[in-house]
Amino acid sequence: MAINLESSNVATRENRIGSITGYIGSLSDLASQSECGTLKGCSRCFSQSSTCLSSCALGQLSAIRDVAIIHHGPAGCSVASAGAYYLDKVMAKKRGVTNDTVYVGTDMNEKDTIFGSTESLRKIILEVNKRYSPKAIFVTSSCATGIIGEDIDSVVDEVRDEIDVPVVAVHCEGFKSRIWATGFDIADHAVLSSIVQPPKEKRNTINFKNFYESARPEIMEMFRKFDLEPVFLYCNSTVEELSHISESLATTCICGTLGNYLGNALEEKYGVPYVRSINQCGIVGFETWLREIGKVTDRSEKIEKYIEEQRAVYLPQIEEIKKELKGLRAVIGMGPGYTFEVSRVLNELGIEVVWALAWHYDKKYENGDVPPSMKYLLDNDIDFEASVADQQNFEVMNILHKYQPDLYLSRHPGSTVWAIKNGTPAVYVADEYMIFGYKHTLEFARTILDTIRNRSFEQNLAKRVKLPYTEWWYEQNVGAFLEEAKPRKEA
Amino acid sequence: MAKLLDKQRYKCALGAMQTVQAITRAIPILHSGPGCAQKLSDGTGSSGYFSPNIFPCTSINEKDVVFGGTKKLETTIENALKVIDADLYVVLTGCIPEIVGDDTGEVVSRFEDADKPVIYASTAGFKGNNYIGHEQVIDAIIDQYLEKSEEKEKGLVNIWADVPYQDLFWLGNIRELEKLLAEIGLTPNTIFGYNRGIDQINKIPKAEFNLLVSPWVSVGNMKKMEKKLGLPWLHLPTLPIGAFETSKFLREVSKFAGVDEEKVESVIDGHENYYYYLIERYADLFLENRVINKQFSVVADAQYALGITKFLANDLGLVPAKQFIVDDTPKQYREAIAEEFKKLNFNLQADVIFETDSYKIHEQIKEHDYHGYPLILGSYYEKELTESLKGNYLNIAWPVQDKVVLDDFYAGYTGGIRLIEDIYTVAVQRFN
Amino acid sequence: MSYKIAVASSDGQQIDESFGSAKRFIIYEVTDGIYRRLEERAFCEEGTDNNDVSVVDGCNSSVSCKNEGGCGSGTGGGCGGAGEASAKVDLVSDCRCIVCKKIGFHIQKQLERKAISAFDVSVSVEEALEKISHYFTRMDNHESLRVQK
Repeated sequence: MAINLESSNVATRENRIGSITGYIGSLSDLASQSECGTLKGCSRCFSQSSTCLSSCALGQLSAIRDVAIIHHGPAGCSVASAGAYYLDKVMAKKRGVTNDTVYVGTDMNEKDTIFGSTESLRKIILEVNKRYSPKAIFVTSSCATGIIGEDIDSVVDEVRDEIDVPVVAVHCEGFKSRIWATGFDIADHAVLSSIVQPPKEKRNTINFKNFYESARPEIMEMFRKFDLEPVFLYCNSTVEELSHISESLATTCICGTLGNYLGNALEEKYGVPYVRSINQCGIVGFETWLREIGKVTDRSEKIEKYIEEQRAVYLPQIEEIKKELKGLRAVIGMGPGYTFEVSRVLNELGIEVVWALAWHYDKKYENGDVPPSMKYLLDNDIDFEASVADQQNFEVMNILHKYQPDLYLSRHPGSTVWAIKNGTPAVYVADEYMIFGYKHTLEFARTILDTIRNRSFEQNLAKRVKLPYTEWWYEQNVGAFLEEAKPRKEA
Repeated sequence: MAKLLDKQRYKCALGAMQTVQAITRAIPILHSGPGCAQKLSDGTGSSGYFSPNIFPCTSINEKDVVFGGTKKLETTIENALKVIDADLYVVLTGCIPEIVGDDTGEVVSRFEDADKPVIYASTAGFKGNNYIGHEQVIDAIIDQYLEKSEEKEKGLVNIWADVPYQDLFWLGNIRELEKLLAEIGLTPNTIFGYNRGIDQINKIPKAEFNLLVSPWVSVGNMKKMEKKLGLPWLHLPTLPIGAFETSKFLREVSKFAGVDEEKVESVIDGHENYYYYLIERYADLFLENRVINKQFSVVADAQYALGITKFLANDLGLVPAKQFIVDDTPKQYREAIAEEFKKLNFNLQADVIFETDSYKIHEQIKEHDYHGYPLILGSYYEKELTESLKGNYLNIAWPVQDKVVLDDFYAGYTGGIRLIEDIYTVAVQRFN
Repeated sequence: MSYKIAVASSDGQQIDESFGSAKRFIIYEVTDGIYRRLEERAFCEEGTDNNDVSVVDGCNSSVSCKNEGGCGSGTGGGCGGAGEASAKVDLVSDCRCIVCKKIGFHIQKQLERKAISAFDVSVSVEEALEKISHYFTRMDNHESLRVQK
């Protein structure tokens, strides 16, 4: 179905929302406009803190079980190592494996910023290798090392002669990109360039890029029915496993933003098909994804049979709960991948999305397509107000304050609390498998119902707390800090 | 010089945003990269009136590196004043502006006439860790906000302790220290936590003296206040945990403040009686369990390494093995701190090691003969290690994953009891 | 080592155009830290008089892009907004950075993936070139940007 910007649909909405124009608009506009709200580098600028790309990049790499990460920078940059240590331990324990990955910092000080510290870095790399014998070493930069011109590439080149496992320079200067999800690409790039080997034989495996593999057992069981074996990346991966991902039948991912770079690169370089469907959230998403896998791996028959069985079990239950969800209004704020995926699921469940905030928006994926989740919404004429705001909580609060939805859904730590302080029930969609397939879609629907059924917690808290924003702010338009709002032409 | 920071136990100076966060209705404005606040915040206990994800931030990008970021900083401060309802705005600089030479002080000075105070602290990550950053923030308050007061409030004492958030028990500890001072008739003044903010900051110059309860953190701040505000200060390096040290603490404070001795002794008596009522009832547990041995190690910052060592040795009669101080204590304080570890009952002396490389710490723990199961009080990093040694482990220092603390504390008489509860909660889950 | 900088300026003096609305880019070449004007590159728009390049006028379906492999193969053009933007990115794809008054989020990301930096500033062309060439020279020679106060 075509995107038609001249459609009455858009004009009507324009009338409805009145004052909100320009950079903040409907989903279909977002799909078509490039100037969709840069909050930065402008004369009336105000922004709140968000995320560093190094958190995304090193969060991925440090989840591998047998590597070393050496984060060259001040202690604040490598502070994520504390969280990574914990996660590595508990995730490995859950799987019954061990995680030997180490993530260290270099505690760079003022003297280093004046005289440089490449010699210290060289020694640190060698020492880490000696202590822990990792299967690969990622040496990563920071803002500080970047702007003082530390040549980490040369250091890495030098030590390669002395270390018999891959040593890779990973460039993580936070200031280099405004889009923190670039960190995912950076991690993929490091893995692809240093660990992944050309295929020797084909295997019946599917690369499954995800965050924390919480649905691993059930996905393994499901894929077993199709004679497929998922290889979950990168949490609990080993270097040995990663070296073979070029031999898989296909690559898929739980979140396009996360899996895009790897998927496309494996396809381009080694001919491993990348399953680019909408993701597995909700019924349509799950079925579309499964059928795509069926097509790519030549297992359509088995997959259709599975879909039929599962539908019989779950659809009646989902239909039943939909009756209770009907009429609810929601605001969502997530990464660009999940914003549009979850919007679709809410639509399936009969919940109206009154506003969606994507923390950023990938207009085009690697291969040049509009993101599939977005395309699905457009093709199916599902439209709502949308804006792009880089985790700008003050905007979320403004929107919640104005719309007073029944529900706020978010995927980023720290964001749901603000909604409940506003008295808005919130669902934290942290687990990437929270809405996976039939079973979890049903659970998700039930969680929503449980959340709005007992609003005691948020009401108790909202009554007691004062919100940190001034009255002045609530009177402003959501886009007050977007520079030079561009009038929309078609209005 | 850059060094191998293996299993790090502190953050960078910009971590001082948590010091600001601990002052009610004070907000940090970060002149830093977009992700610094998220990295430096802790997963739990951060969703207060302000939380790290709403800290205004200039989110420095490549353009600001090349063209300078002062204009962006100015508009960020300007709009923070408009959007955020706070009493004190503290601009904190990250690595980039300090290296490329943004004149943050000049930009902040343009807000001298703003309705609310705007100050700034130089907290570039490479300037030191978050203990140093904490001092920088307090220095900024002294230098740029506080004025000397001729008017003094009788009995008013400012209490300063360790670093909020970095210290898991910061809130409960400082409240307990306040309570203790109040009991001997003094009026405590602190600036962190519930109901403590700009009003308490305003009262600082009116105090009779500053009381610093920390081995080294904030010593510089005390000297600065002495010079600028004319405030004398009493330095008690040991965080008082349990009866022995807390009674000593009360006597020393009273002596310095000129509190009537009889009054202090009666307060001490009251506490010690209850304390030993509890100890007496649970002495069977201490003596007749089969898993807690005499030897212990603390792996923590100077505050807890010292405080807990004294408590376990002087109150519970345990014997210190090697103690590890992991906060990168500035060299000039190390000798004096090491001396403190030699002042234990029965001429016991604890061997203390200043070390930030946890690999070396773990190697030494593994090599030490604890004459049985070791008791290790440390950060989450010691959990797996202690398990491998079949020891007893308690998570008391950052990073913390094994314990959720809202306002629990180890300071004072009650704090000592809490620590005993925590240690023996671990012990009773085992049998040998 | 030399590299190119693309500048969006209507008069050659001020950085005064956004990436989206620029009809042409002035290309400077920097060799050993010294910059010189190399050429101008004009962007030919097709089938639209809309001066906001980002508005999809010509393209009705992004699917068609995929099927033709147009956008993906990097040849760009012919498929509306995204394609136009891509074409513009291609126009400067041999440059190390682009300097313009404003730039959209996703274009930045596209540029980023080609390792092209984007600077959205409102300064004179001269100032921009001075500062940027200084920055890259330092970075290339692994020299610190540290300012000694």
